[in-house]
Amino acid sequence: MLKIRNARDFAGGAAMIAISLLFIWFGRGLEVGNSFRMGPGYFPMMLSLLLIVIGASIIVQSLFVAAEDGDPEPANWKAYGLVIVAPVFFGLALSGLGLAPTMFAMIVAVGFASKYANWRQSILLATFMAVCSVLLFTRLLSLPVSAFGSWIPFLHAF
Amino acid sequence: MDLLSDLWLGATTAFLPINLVYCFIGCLLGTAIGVLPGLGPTATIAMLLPITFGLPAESALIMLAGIFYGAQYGGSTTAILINLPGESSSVVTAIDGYQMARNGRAGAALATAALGSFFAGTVATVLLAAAAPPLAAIALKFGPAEYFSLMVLGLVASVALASGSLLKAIAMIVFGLLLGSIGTDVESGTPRYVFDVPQLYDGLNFVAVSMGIFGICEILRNLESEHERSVGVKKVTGLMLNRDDFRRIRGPVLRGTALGSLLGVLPGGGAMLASFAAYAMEKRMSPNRAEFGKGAIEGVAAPESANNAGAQTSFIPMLTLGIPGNPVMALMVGAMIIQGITPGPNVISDEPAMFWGMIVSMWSGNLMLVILNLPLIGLWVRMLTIPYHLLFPAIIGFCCIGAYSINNSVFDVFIMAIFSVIGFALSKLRFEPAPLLLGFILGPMLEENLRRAMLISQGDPSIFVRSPLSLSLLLGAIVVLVLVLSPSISRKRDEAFTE
Amino acid sequence: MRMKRFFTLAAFAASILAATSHAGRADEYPSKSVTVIVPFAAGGNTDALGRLVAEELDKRLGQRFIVENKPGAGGNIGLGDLARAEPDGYTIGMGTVSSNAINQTLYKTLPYDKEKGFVPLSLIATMPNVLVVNADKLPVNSVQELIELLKKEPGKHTYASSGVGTSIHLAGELLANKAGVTMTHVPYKGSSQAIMDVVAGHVDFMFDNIPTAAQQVKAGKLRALAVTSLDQASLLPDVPTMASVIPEFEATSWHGIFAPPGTPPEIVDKLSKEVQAILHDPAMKAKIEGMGATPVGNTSEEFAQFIDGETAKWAEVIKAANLPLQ
Repeated sequence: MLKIRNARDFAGGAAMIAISLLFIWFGRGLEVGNSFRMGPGYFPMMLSLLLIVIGASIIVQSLFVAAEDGDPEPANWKAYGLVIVAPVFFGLALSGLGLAPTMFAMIVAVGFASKYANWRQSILLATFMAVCSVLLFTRLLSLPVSAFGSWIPFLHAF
Repeated sequence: MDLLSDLWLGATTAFLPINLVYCFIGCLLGTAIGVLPGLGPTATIAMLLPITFGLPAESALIMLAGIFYGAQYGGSTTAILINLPGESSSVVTAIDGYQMARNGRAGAALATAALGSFFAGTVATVLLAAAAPPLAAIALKFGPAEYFSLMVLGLVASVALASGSLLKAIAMIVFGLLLGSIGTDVESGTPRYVFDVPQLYDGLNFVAVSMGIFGICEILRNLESEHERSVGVKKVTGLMLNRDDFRRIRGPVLRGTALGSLLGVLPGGGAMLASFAAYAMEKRMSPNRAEFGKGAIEGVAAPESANNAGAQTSFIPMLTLGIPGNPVMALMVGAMIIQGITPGPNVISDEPAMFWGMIVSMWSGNLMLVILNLPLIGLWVRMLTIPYHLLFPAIIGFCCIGAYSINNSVFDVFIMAIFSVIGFALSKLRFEPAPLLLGFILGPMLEENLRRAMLISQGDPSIFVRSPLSLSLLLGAIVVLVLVLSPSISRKRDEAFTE
Repeated sequence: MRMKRFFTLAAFAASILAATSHAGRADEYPSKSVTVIVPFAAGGNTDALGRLVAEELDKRLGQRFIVENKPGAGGNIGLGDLARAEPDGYTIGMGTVSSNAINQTLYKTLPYDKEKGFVPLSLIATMPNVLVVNADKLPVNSVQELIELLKKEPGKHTYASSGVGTSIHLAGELLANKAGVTMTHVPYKGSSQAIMDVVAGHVDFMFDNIPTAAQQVKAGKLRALAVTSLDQASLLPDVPTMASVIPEFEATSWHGIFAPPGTPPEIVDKLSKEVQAILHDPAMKAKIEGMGATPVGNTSEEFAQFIDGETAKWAEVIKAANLPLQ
């Protein structure tokens, strides 16, 4: 009877197959052509098929070779959430709020992904980062982003 | 001696106090920029280009060149300290460099990078002075077929980057190649996997992807087991290299320099290819190969020398043929045109002071960089003693703004966020990120050159074996493939026996 | 009704704010800094020209003209931003033959309204391409000889370009179209790799921007057959024009300056006049000619007419070449 000896690799192999199916599905409109006249879809199609074979081999291997390290890993969902949402927030708020408030808010919030965070240090760090980034990026390197965005009416001009 | 009089001319240009100052400013800026994640030399030179309009041509170019190789130094600093390769060529440095930092050897890793780079830079500069035209002739030998074969060799060698399962490493390379196919197809102009998003027409940006998959992902991993690793890294032991370290890096630095000098001449990714070819080679040859992936000093020395040597020799196509080999060189050509010098095959005879001045300034720049960077090591290492809960928000902050600065668009910030999730999922499944990134970089070049070669040969695949250069590269790939596969076969056999 | 009064007050305050921030009258324009969007990466020709003009506008109008590079998707991303900007004269942008005449046909959808387009301010400069061949691979000395060779061996010879749908590629398609020849197109990412492969002899010929190609010609690495402008180019004075062989053959890359649709005519007029004056300044002319380009500086109407002609010309070539629409 076959049994999954390495659940992680089983999932990994399945993920690779899923990825290749995604590429095949979204590339279905691309012309494949043949080896002598390759179309835009040729390369992705061949790679996807290759990845399916590799994914399948990883699955097969997971049925026979047991995992070497099995120790469970702690999950820290709060940290994952904060760290992943932080850049998204940054991207959404940058043009409206401007660099300084966006950076400040993001640093304060993301700090709490760590359990050693405290308000005082976070606010100090965030202020430091906000000032630094404005000086460095908008003043010195003149990136096209204002320190205060259009959502902040009176400071916007600065 | 002609060469000596030429070098003397160069020295009189490069050692003018004003040019030394600009060289220093360039190196300093480059280092600073390289350390800031996301901000690469291309973006910086682009931003500073208008400032150079008012400078004399030599000073402007000396400063821009300083930014370029300064950034190569700086990029490896973040790769080593926080697992954040700022440049495609420092992806490989991150593998062992970051592990060295975790073992408390950040100082030694940074010193290796600085000294290896300085040695490589010196050798490459001499090479540039003595043999630029013949090296350029080699670059011209590489047509689409030769490039394709070189890429195949590179991909096969990149399998060696993985320290875990071979099968999973290959899966990552293929996934990387697939990600590389996103964007407009060069041959037909057909958009692929762009979902009508205009920002995707030029493909995913390497820096955004690597910041997500390396930098942010590493933060996620560190936070998850914060109670175990609250110190972040082991206590730092010794900032400088000991005698044993010197003995160990000697060979890798020499081989890395040789490989980097040669591959750097090739336009389009030569220097990058050099860094991981050097790593792969050391991993096969080193007596300490078991340490690779766990903090082997050779794994820092070889790619760092290779990429710095490559960075110097990548000036060759531009300086001798007037053809820029990478985006940074294209910007330098832009700077020259605005200065009224259009680089071409005659630039050496038309503008000897500029040409030789730049070459000599490269060496003086490298010297400045090593003088600048060795004392900075102490400072960088001290940065690691900042409590992690204060360090990581700052890293995220710089990553966000770095991603924004790539195209002045928040789109790349979102790409970085998406790839931090993908990278994290992959690390949970024990897939390694380095082969993925290399597949991602090499994929488009592999495909373009394959299809370009087939177009030129009117669909005749024998073009890949007709050229002796291409044939020998392909044969090389087969040899490497056999070498890579054999230990894993024997390892499997060993495992079977012990069971 | 306290709330209602509060809202009225707030609305009043907001309208004052809005009114003061829209100081859009021409006599006081510009009263604050102006953004100049360059839809290509820094360091290229469009960027250099944009910066030259912005610097002069800065001096003449007494306000900062800040260049912002918004590269991507053949200029479409930056132009999308320009189209969305407030049409008050405080955001203007650069455009080229690719972004403002070719992409209209090449792309199925653009991130802005194709019909509304942009308000042309002035054509800054045109830059001819030059047809260069690798002398060792193709034994031809003139355009006629090249056409004869291509007719004799259809599809056998290759020409390089900086990418599908670029002005360099379309110059080749125009040749194929007008001379009735077939040859194999080999696209590259950008023109520097393409010209390198022509110099090395991997590809037979190409049309390339004149400054870089002229250097290769002078060094004897490439043979120049013709320039694609109607007049001969100052950088290559001995080289004939394509039009002398194929009547009306013109394929130049050009760079102009635009305002978002709906910009008040007074401001358009003011900016256009300033740009024209800048481009007729001898020092400026010399700078632009040094880049291998021909300074123009025409009126908004002339420029609009020029763009219409270019768009129609390239639409025809793209349709004839049967290029995939993006």
